[in-house]
Amino acid sequence: MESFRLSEAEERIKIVALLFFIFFCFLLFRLFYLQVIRGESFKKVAEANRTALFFERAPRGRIIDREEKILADNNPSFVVFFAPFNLKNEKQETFYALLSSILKLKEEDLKLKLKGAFKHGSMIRLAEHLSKDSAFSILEHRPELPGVSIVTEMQRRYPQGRAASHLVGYLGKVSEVDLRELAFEGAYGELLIGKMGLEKIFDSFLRGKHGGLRMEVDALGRSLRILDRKKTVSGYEIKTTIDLKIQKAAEEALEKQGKPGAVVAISPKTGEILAFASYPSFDPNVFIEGSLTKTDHSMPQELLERKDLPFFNRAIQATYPAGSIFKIIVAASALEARKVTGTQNFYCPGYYILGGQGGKKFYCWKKEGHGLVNLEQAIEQSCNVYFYHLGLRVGPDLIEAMAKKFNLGSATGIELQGEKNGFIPGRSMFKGGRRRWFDGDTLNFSIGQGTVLFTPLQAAQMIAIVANRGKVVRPYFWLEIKKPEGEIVSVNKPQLLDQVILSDETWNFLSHALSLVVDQGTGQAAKVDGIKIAGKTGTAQNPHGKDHAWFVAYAPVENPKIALSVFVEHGIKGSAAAAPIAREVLSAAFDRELEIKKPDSKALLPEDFE
Amino acid sequence: MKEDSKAPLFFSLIPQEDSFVSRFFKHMDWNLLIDVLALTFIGFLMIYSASLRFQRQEIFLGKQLLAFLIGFLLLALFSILNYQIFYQHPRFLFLVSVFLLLLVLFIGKSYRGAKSWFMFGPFSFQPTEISKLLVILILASWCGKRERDMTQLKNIMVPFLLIFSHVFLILLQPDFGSTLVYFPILIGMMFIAGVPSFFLFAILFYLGVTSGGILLHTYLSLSPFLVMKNSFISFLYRGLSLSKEFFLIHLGIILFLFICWWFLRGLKFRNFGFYFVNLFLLIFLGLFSSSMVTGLLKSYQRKRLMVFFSPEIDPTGSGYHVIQSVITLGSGKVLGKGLFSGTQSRLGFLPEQHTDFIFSVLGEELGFLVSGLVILLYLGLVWRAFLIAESSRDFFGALVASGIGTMFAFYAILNLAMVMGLAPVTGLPLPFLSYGGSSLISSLAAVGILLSIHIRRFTYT
Repeated sequence: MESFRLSEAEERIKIVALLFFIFFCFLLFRLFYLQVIRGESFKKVAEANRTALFFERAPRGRIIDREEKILADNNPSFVVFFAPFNLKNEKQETFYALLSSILKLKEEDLKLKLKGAFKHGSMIRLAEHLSKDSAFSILEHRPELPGVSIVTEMQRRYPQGRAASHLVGYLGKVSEVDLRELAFEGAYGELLIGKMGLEKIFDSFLRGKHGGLRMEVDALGRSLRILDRKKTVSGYEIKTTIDLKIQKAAEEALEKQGKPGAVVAISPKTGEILAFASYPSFDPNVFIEGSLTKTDHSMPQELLERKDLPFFNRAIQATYPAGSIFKIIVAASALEARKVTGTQNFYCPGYYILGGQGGKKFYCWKKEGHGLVNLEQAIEQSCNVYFYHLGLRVGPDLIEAMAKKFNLGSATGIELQGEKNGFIPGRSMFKGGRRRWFDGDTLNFSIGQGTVLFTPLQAAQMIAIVANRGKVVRPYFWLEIKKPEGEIVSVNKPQLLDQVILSDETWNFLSHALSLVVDQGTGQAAKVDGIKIAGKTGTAQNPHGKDHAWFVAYAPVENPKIALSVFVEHGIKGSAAAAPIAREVLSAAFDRELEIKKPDSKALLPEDFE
Repeated sequence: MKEDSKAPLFFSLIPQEDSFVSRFFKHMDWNLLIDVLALTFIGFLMIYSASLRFQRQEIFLGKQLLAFLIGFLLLALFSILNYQIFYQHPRFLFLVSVFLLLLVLFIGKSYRGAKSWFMFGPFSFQPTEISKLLVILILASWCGKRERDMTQLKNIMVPFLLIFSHVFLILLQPDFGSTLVYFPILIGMMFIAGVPSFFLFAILFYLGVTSGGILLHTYLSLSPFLVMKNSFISFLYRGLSLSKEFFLIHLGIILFLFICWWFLRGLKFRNFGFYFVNLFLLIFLGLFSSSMVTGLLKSYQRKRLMVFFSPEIDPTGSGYHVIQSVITLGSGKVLGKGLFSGTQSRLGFLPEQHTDFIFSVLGEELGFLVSGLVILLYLGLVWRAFLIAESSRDFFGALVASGIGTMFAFYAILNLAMVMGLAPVTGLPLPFLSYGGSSLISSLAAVGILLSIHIRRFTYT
């Protein structure tokens, strides 16, 4: 039968076999492509298919004042979960009755919620912000409540309510834009991030590391088991320079007089901000859902729409005409330029006529006039006419230069957002313009009216420089950042920025004259028994309404521990509206010895600092 | 006896040197047998793993083991039995095959809308699994007897009629997927039998028109705007399924053919006319059968075809199957996720993980190293089948072996291409690996026939 073995048939068999061989090789290559070349990306898809993350918020770091009093911490809040793993649809009435009585939920609502959980086989949040009692009773009844579990989740709390709210800031739900910027993992909708103040600036420190439960889910989305648990890591603690006692005194005083305003208190030697108040303020707790500590029950939206702008930080974001507090600068420049001595007298009839008879009349605040006054008395009584004479003698250029030496007209560089520069006018500002600088501008300039603009922080820094005899230090508001275990991550050091060099006589004269202001002059309302205070009142003419009130001060005069500025919108008179607030703040500061309890901060100072 | 010295040592212990038993073991194709047993064993592991999700893995594995026992008995039986017995009685085989296919239409049980299962208590099997083997034997017998006459048209027509009778009966069930294997068997065997390429091209052309018609219809049903705007396309679209337009088109073609034939006869352009008329005849037949198939397609089958065109139309339904299958395979990477720890299959992302998509489970759990090996095992199986065909002692054996080889190659290639996202979901199993008793038994029986041909490759009687 060999005859049948046609070579043709063998050939054809080989052709068919070869064809299949090619097919198999192609499939092998495709398999190689899918499993080896693309394997990693498919593995990721498969992992994403089978896992679902149940997000757990990390406790945020605390924010404390210089005395370690708590400005912001966390409150354990109990969250009830229900997970129908390996559970049949429990229809026992006792289960529902017990759970609904503990959670204070209607039985029908509860059944509805649980029905969903059973249907989709997924873990759900049954209740949030549970009270401690309810949480304990759930734990007690654990055997009767299969599938119910309790997780404590740390919730932000601001125990001081409104205190330093502009500095501390508040939290809000993360927005799409934030997410793109931050690009971290987690269940996005439930994240909270800082929206203002310290909470915003130090969000990455305060945030900590979020954790969660990684769960295995099947194709129908049912959670089958917990794969692993990523522990949360709490955020870093931030110690501020704020002295809560002074802060509260400032806020209470502002609130008592009821007009919008600001108080900034600085430790003049180091630049540490002791109080940083802006009124009206807000309670950051209102942004925390279900917060138990909130004092203000208005909705965040209402707060945002209020006409008096509670979120507006007047201490740095608002600029106002300086008024008479600017006379400190004018006096300093006149003394340095030797255009005046302490005994130089001018006569104040209540007005000053520019350019001889028939010229424009510039008034003193005291209509009847101060009579014959020397510089000391002019500062003490805040006589405008004296300063008109002085201004014309010194000239605007020297005053402008002196103001700029005092770091006025430019931002202090504090780390908060939205700080304004203020403004110091000068002849140069009209260069090439249609208008030129007139002597009338010099007169307005020398009493701080017109276009001289300060923020309350700048006013405080100015008086701190006087208290410090010329040393310009950078104002700052945090001392250190600490890990929860106690390890210090970062320390903020005092920083000498510049020095205003004036003669000793000038400094001595200024401190003497300014202490007279409080002793027997316009600033008597700020007087505190037993403490020698130097200060200056100011009234800023406001073409749009009632005049604004200023008061700047430092104390004690011999060894200044605190320098502060008080501003009251439409306060009319610095002596009447602002000085009493300063009194409250100062008496709070000296109620106990305002000892700057920071031994190492001195060591950090530059050598020539003290 | 030179051959004896090549045999393993223990065969020399068998006393009767030229007995059937010694010859049986000496000439046994151990490569093929080990290849097949390896595939079956991997199949057991994978079926166990894939059915863990149902938590009835012992039942699934037990059924498959039972099928293996039966199949292995058949394998032994067929390898001992001289395959030439089938050469003698093709008519009888044909009658058995047709009888089974007819019987299932009356007493069969329906599964997924197709009446294609015989049920005997807890056991069930598909008659198509038997009849496809019978068809290979009948075809081989017919062609083997007409070794040098396969160029004659009447000899070619009979295999066609045989295939069409089977396909027709199976389409009555209707089980579209099971008919597919008959076409590559027919073409492969006819090619090896020496049928002129002209006929084979004609067949391929016919099949091309048929499948092209189905695909065109599916494609048009996916683009309703095109159909609505263009009246010709709209006419064509309706003509592709059983409708008024369908009869108009076919009447037109027949009339045209008749006129051509009549005209050409007058001109005596005989040779040219023959091709011309045949071409149109084929188009006619192709369109006719494509319309038949289109009409018979189940909605889920039609959807599978659509999804193959554009998987994104249904990413959670039929398209989801293919996408998840590719993800499952790919996620195994080189070493796999470990036996019994495939996430895609255990968590229900992969459909039909114990039957059609079992290869994805294998790839996910054991990685490219094992899944690539399995492809090589299939290649080895097909390779051995064609080697057996080449070394067969008679033409009938060569045809049977290459028919069986073509069958295995077709199943393996189509299933693998499907799980890798290269072919539409046809619902064809992967031989030896997929869960399913009938398929395993008939595959083992086919291997038995291959072994029988191999053992008798030398001219003993």
